[in-house]
Order: sequence, then C-alpha cells, then structure tokens
Amino acid sequence: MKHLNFYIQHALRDMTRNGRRTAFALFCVAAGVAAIVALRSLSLTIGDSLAGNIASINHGDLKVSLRGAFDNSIGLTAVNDGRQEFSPELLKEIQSWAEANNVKTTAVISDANIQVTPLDNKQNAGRPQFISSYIIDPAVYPFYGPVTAIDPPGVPLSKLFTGGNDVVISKNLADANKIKVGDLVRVGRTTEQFTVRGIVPTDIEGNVRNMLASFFGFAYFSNAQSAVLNVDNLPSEVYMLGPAGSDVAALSASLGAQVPGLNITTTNDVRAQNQTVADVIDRLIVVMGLAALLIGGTGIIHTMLVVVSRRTVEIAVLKTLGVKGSQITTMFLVESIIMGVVGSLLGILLGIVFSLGIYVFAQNVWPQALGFRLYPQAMFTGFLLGVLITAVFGFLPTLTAAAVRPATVLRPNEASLPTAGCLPTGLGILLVVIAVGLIAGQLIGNLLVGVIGIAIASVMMTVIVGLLYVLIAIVGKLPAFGSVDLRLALRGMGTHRARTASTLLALIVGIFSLSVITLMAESVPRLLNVQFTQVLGGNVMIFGLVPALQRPFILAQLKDKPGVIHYNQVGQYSAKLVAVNGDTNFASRIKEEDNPIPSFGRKGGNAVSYRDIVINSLGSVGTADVAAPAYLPQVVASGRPLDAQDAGKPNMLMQSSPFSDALGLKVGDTVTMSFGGKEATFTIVGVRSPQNKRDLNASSLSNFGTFTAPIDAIPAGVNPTFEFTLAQVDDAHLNEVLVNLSSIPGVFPFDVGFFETLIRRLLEQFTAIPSIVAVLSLFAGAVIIANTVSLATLERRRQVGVMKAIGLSGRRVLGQMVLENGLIGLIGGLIGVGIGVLATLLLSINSQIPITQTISWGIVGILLALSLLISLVATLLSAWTAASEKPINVLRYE
Amino acid sequence: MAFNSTGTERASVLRTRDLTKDLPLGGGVVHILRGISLDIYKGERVGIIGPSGSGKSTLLGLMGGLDNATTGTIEIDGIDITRLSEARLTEVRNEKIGFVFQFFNLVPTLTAIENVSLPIEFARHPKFNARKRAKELLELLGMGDRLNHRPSQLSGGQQQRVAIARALANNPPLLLADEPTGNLDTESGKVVLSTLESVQRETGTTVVVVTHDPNIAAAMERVVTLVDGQIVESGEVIKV
Repeated sequence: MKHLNFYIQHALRDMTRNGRRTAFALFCVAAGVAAIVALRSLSLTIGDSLAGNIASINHGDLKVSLRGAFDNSIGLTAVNDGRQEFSPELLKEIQSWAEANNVKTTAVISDANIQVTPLDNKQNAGRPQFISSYIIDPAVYPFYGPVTAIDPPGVPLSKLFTGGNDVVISKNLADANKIKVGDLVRVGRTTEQFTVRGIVPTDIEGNVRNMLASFFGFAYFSNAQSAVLNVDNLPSEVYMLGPAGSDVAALSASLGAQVPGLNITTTNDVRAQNQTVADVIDRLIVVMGLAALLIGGTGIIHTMLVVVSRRTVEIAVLKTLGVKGSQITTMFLVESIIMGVVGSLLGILLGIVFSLGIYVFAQNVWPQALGFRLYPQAMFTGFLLGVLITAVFGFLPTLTAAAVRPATVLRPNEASLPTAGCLPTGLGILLVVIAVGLIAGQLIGNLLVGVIGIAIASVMMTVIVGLLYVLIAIVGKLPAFGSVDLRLALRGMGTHRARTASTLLALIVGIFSLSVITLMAESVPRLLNVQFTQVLGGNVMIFGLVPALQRPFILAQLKDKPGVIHYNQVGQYSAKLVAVNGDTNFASRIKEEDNPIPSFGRKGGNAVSYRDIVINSLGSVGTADVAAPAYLPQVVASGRPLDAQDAGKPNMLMQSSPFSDALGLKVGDTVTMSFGGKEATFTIVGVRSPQNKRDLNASSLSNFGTFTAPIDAIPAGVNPTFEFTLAQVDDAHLNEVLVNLSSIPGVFPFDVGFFETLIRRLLEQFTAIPSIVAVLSLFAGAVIIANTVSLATLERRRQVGVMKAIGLSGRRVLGQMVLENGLIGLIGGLIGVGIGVLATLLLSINSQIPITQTISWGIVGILLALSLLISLVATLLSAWTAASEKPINVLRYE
Repeated sequence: MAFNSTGTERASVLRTRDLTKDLPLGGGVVHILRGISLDIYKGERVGIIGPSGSGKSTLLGLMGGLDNATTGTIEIDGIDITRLSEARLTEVRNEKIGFVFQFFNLVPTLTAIENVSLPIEFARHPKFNARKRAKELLELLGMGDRLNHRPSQLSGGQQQRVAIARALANNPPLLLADEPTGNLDTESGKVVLSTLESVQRETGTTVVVVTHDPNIAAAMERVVTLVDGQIVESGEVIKV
C-alpha cells in the first residue's frame, strides 16, 4: 500500500481528464444509491408511522372482543345484526374486573354495517359507501387523546353530539359524498334522518389495521341512538385504559384469567405486530433497492472495462517499467472505489430529492399518516452499499487490466483488451457473487439465503443475458432494406453484444416491473368486475333490512322498468335437517370420523363432530325466484332443474357433495327441514354434480346452499340468513334505477362496480411500494443506457470521425445513434411489456373474458413509448457532443 | 492559372492562400501553420514532406475540410471551403474529396464492399449505383475476391486498398492521403503506392500524400517541403 498515494493521484487524474465518461459512471452509482436512500427513508417513515400511534390504533391500552369467529363460520353461534356482541353478564364481569384494577373502560358497537348516504345528492344517492360505523359513548371515547373536528374547527368529539339523531363523519366520507356539516343524511337500519354534526380527520380510525376506514371513511353515532338505529345496545368491543405506568401485559393476563373467552389485544401486541410489519417492509424495500443498485453496478462493469480497454497501452507501458499485475489491479480498483465514494455521495443528494417525491406519493396511498424527515441511517446504508457494490463490480474488469501484456507497447495500434483467463475470471465471479450475497444476506438477516439467492439470481441473469446476446446477434443480422443508416445501426448493436445484452436487461427489468404492476393494477379490478357481473348474474345487488317485507317493493322497482334487463332474488336460510324420507334417525347413517374436530381453544366450546358438520351443511338452503323473467334453469346431473312450474311448490335441487353422499341422498328423496321451528318437507327433483358448480349463469344463481328451493316455497314469516336481489341494468339507466331502489326505506342497492373501486384501492396500497421500486429501477436502467451510449460513442469516436470525413453530417451521425438505441429501447420495451402482458393474461385464462377486455392496450402503448423515450433521451444526452465534434480532433487524438 | 511542362494550361483543384492555424497551448498560442499559399493542379501527384511537427497533417486536415483554419482561404474546385456551413462542408467532403488514412479507418462492422459503398450511400445526390461501383473499384484494386470480408479478416495492405477504393467511391477530383503506407510492411507499402499511382494515371484524380518516407516522396511528381509551418521548398521530383 506504499503506492496508495500514486494510485489515488493516478485515478483522480484519469477521472478528471475523462470527465464525461466519469460523470456517466458516477451517475450509474448515484442512481442505485439514490434508490436505496429513498426506499430506506420510506421504510423508516412507514416504521415510524406504525410505531407512532399505537394507542390510537388499539383505541386504548387493552382492546377486548369476543373469541369465536370460527364457530360462526359453521353456524354454531347465533349471530345478531351481523356482529358478535358481549352479553350483559359478560360485560358486568369485565366491568367488575376493571373497577377492581382501577381500569377505565368504554364500550363501542362497531361493524354494525350502518351506511350513510346523502339525501339531496342525486349523483351519489343510492350508492352507499362501504364505511365503518362506530356507536360510541361520546363523553368517554376515545381514551388515547382528544378527537377534534376539522369542521367545526377544533370542537371536541364529545361536544359534537347534541342528543338527537346526530352523526359525525370522516373527512374522506364527507369529500366523497360532498356532505357538509348540517346536511341531513339517510343512515342504514332506520328510516329516520340524521344530521351531520361534525367532520373529523380520516386518520383517527383509518390506519393499516382498518383500511376500510382509510378507503371509504367512517361514522360515529352516539350510543344514546342505538334504539333508533335498531342495534342491540350491547358492545362488540371494549376499550380499556390502565392507571398511569401500569403493565399492560400483566393487566391482560389478569383479565384473561378472570374472564375467559376474551380476545385481548394490548398496545404491546400491536407494537410487536407493527414492528414485525415494519421490519418486513424494511427488508423487502432495501432488497428491492439493492436490485436497483445492482443494475447500476453493471454500469460500473461497463465503464471499468472501457477504461481498461482505452488504457491498454498505458498499462503495457507501466508493466514495461516494472509495475506488477497485482499493482495494476489495485490501481484500477482504487479508481473504481473512488467512483463508488463520489457516486454514493452524489446518490445521497439525489436520494434526498427522491425521498421527498416518494413521500408525497406514499402519503396519498398509505392508509396511515406519514411524517417526512431525513434519516441519516438511510444515507449511511446507501453510502455503504454504493461503495461496496462499486468496489465488488469494479473488481472483475481490473483482472483484465492485470492481464495486459507489456509487448502491447510495441504495437499500440493493435492493442486490444485481453481476457483475464478462465480461472481468474471464474474465481473473480465467485468472489463477486459471495460478496454481493453476503451484502444481501446481511440485509435480509440470513447470510446463507443471501448468498444462495444471489448465486441463483446470477445464474438466471447469465442465462437471460445469454439469450439476449443471441437475440442481439440475430437482430444485428437482419436486412437493412437498403437503408445505410439502419444497416449501420444494426451492425453497431452487434459490436458489443454482451454490453448491449446487459444494458437491455437493465431496461427490461425496469419496464417489466412497471408493466406488471400497472397492467395488473388496471386489469385485476376490471376482470373482477366482469367476473362479479358474470358470476353473480347482475351489476346491481340490493339488500334490505327486512327482506320478507321489502321483497315486493324491490320487485316493483325492477319489474318492467326501463333499463332493467333481468333480475332475481336470492337468499339463504339456516335450517335444520330433521328427517330424510320421514326418518328422523337418519344421523346414525353418517359414518363418524375417528377423531372429533377440535374446538380451536374455545373455552367451554363443544368439540365439533363430523356428524355435526354434515347436518349443519345439509341445513343450508339457498333460494331463487324460479318464476322471474329470464330465469335460466340450472344444469343438472340427474333429475330435472327447477323451473317456473316449481314456483311455490316444495321442490328442491340438491348440490352433490361429500355431505349429501354421506346420507346417500338422490332424486325422489324427501328432506324435512326446520326453519326456526317451522317445518317443511321438500322433494329432491334434481341433483347437480360438483362439476356443475361453475356453470352459474346470469339469472339462475342460487348456489348458496346444499339445497336450492323456490323462494316462495319457504314457510312464511321465516327470516333468511341473508337475502339479496340481483339485477342486470344497462349503464344508461343504472343511476336512475339505483336512486329509485334507494328510495325504499331500509333498502340499500349496491353497484357491483363498488367492488372494483374497493379492489382498485386495495391494489393501490399493495402496488405502491413495488411501483416506486419499478420507477427507480427504470431510472437506473435509463442511466445505464445513457452510460452505455456514452461509452459506445467514446469507443466509436474514430469511426464517427471517419464517417464525417467521408461525408456524413453530424446530425446524421446522431440520427444513427438514436436509431440504434431506439431499436434497443424498442426491443427492451417489447420484451418487458410482453412479459407483463403474458403475466396479466395468465390471470384471465379461466375467465373466458376476451384479451381485449383484460389488457389495457393504452397502458401497453404508453409503456412501449416510455421505453423508447428513455433510450432516445439517454442517447441524445450522451451522444450529442460526440456527434458534433470536429473530425480532425477525433482522427488526430484517437 | 499555371502551365505544365508541355506548356498547356493547368487548372487548380486546390488552392490555399495565406493559410494559418494557431492552437492555444498552456496559456500561450502555438502557430502550427504560418501563411501557406499553395496551388495543386488537376491530375497532379503531390507529396507533402517535412519533419515531425512541421504541420503536414494539420495542412492536410485543413485542405480536407476536417478542421477550421485560423486565417486564410482554401478553395477546392473553386469553392472556398473556409466560408461554408458545416452541412455544405460535409457535402464537399463527400463529393470532392477522398481520404486515405494511415490506420485505414474502415468501419469494423461493415464488409469491404459495404465500406466502399458508404460515401455513395451518404451522398445527397448519388452519382453511382453504390454496390455496382464499389464492386468495380474493389476489382480494379485487385480486391475482387475479398468483397464480403470484414476489415478484421483482411491484411493491412488489403485494408488500405479497400480504404483507397472507398476514397474513390464518388470519383472525387482530390484524394488526400495521410501516411498511407506508414502502418504497412514494405511489400504492402509498395502495392499501395503503385495503386495510388495507377489511380492517378487512370482516373486523373489529383493525389496529395503527406509523408515523411523519402521513397514515397520519390514516387510523387512534385514535393512540397514544410518546416515549422512554412513551405520552404516546392518543386518537381527528379527521377534518378
């Protein structure tokens, strides 16, 4: 290292004298480092946001709800108004424990599905938002800090409720429906009108654990109004605040021991869960950022190879003077490390600018409020990785420098870049893979996985670069159709195939990531919407609070109305199978499995037997209006389908399943069902096989039970578990029909397009970070292209000079470069977008939806144009001066 | 206007008047050329010789429109190229001048015939069928069996003959060669030299060769000697 000073001086002089080349190389490093800094800052911002408002997210030190969600799913627990509520006895137990432990409590009724719609806004009327509703005690709620309104400004939540039919809504709900303070609104579960008394910030309830509130908003009602809202005044959640400095884990253990069957979430739990989420996001993001840096790293390889090849004679001279190969390697390594240091410092500056842009983007899609600040640890990570990757990637080309033979000085014009030899190259590549693998392993917390992952990625990259190499060789041989410019462009592409292939890979990675994200984000909601409409058989779903009563009113708004193509009413009843062919002892025919199904830790819960499950399943009865217009009978495997002649008759269609097989049920058998004590006997007229499940069509759906019966064959006065009406309405009349339906008290029609909105919002969340990474990768790809073009023009300066000497104008030289790199951009775009399109099409293989509807061709066009644009701008930036140089300068000094 | 040895009038293909070229160097100025006035006539074979640093290559660059003079004029076929726009100068280079370089400077990705076709394909108004003309020229220079070879597949002498064919592609009145044999062995050098001679004889193209090789200078009809950016001698070569 005694020559270090010489190495540094030498490197700095080379870098400054070849300023243009150095600038592009530095930009390659900077682009990768900026990506790391920006992404790490984002992950730390998200981490801060997740760690910052734990009490708010948990609504207190402890959040208590009831266990037993699983039991609901098999119908063992009675469900009231769509939620699980505490019994008065259980509440009393909790309350006495709280008093004994000096813990404050407030109870909240949530998830009661109370919709809020404006009365006087035709556009939105009838299109309820999927909001979260909370029936609270305004005097106490919440514990974790004051909630003050945006409008009227600064007024606390407790002062907003006047004792009447009041509602306080979130800002996003108010904005989406253009609701102002003082407006009258219609709310679900009642025909009475409510007045909006205040608008509060969305992030009070909206966070990562309550995304629906972030997307669609929420509403607060006073628990004094629960009777008006037809909700049992029994809470579904109890929030608790312990004495200052209390140990929440100990409180949780104490409550759990005294009152069994509770689901208790402490702030510690939320903090730990959020920390896990933050850690996963952090690792994911940094590894993604590393990908951008690795793309930048290929730029360093390109640059160092060109640096070495252009200084072959100089290296040979140094060797004749007695400089050793290892010293030459060190000399160039020092140069690449200096580039790493300077590039990383530039990258930090660029990263700060990126961070700000990403923060603005993330704030709009992340469901929780984010705070912006600069993170020194993000800058440090970026710097460290930038220098390491540059040193590691710069190492391979330095091996070739060491292999330059001193005899080159004798024939300087025949100097060409030597190869480092198989063994040194192999060992060098192995070293690079291990080094990068260790860096990646350090980031993800597992060194071995990191090394193996990078090794696999390297093999894959080599294969892909190899394929691209072949592709470029083929493209280079394509006919030029008599165009000399095209011929030169095609031949130029083939000059440095390995470099062109790796550049192409960088561009493809960026374009592919972006295309998959944008195409999927665009296509998935569209596909789901089409599938919803196809599978459900309509584009409007209508729910009523008291279906049996509202059925005729809903029908009146659909029957023979303009724009209504067809409709059907569908329901599901939870009945109990009491006899098969009159035999009430049928259960003994079901073979019991060896072990009862566990009770999933539910204290006091009964173990569920296979027999219980079979009987429960066979008690599920779907209904359909077989007399509705355009009703299409279902396909059956045996017997006959239900049709209009079955209206009002006790006939049933059975879905064949292991449960029906367990009893050996077949066409002609009778089953007696008890609907809340009212018994009815049905005859099985047809059986659908499991294969027929997919043949749902527009108006014959009723796949909501093992059995399907005509809607009017169910005993009168029995309430269904759920019932809704589905209608297909043409777009022109959609709003009018929705408004008319929503005028029926207690009826809520949903436009199925709502699901599209929901999915779109969810996808926005999930694709936000990958989108940022894709854009940053694409940026890195663009910088690589600029670097490659710059290096290519540097190498072809002499050729450019000759061309100009024999009569080619500077503009045409530039045109050729633009053509050549435009072709690279086009190929990169076609491959990147092509893979994205294929991936998206895979989603729709089974959907029978035409490709034209699945893929957004506008986006495909934009992405292709983007790929071209990136190549062209990068070319113009880096080749402009080379093309305008005087030929004598080039011919004399090259 | 000048007269040749038989007393017939000779037209200038290239005429320079008071040509100077200065270059900034380390805060000062280096005078590379100091007032060169020179006439080169149609069909002449002229050698420009002089010691290293005398300004030979700079003069050739200026005569070929590759560089801008500091002062003075250069006329090629009566056109003052010092006053031309870059676009027009490009056309003049394409139509009026052929270049032959020491290091051949063929486009490595193109074959021999494609290299020779280039100037015709670049021409604004092509006078020839590019491929046919390239083939004819290469055959004329004895390269008919190497039409589809790339530069890397040709010897130095062969590459230089391809370069000469390329220089002649648009049938320019002036061919400028910078040390055309400087990178060749003796045998190849002789072939290249005889090629230049026969080109001048058979096509009437004016050939200007910059060299410091006395053998090449001896093969010229007239030799101009440059020292320190000035013409110190100009006269016909006496064959011994």
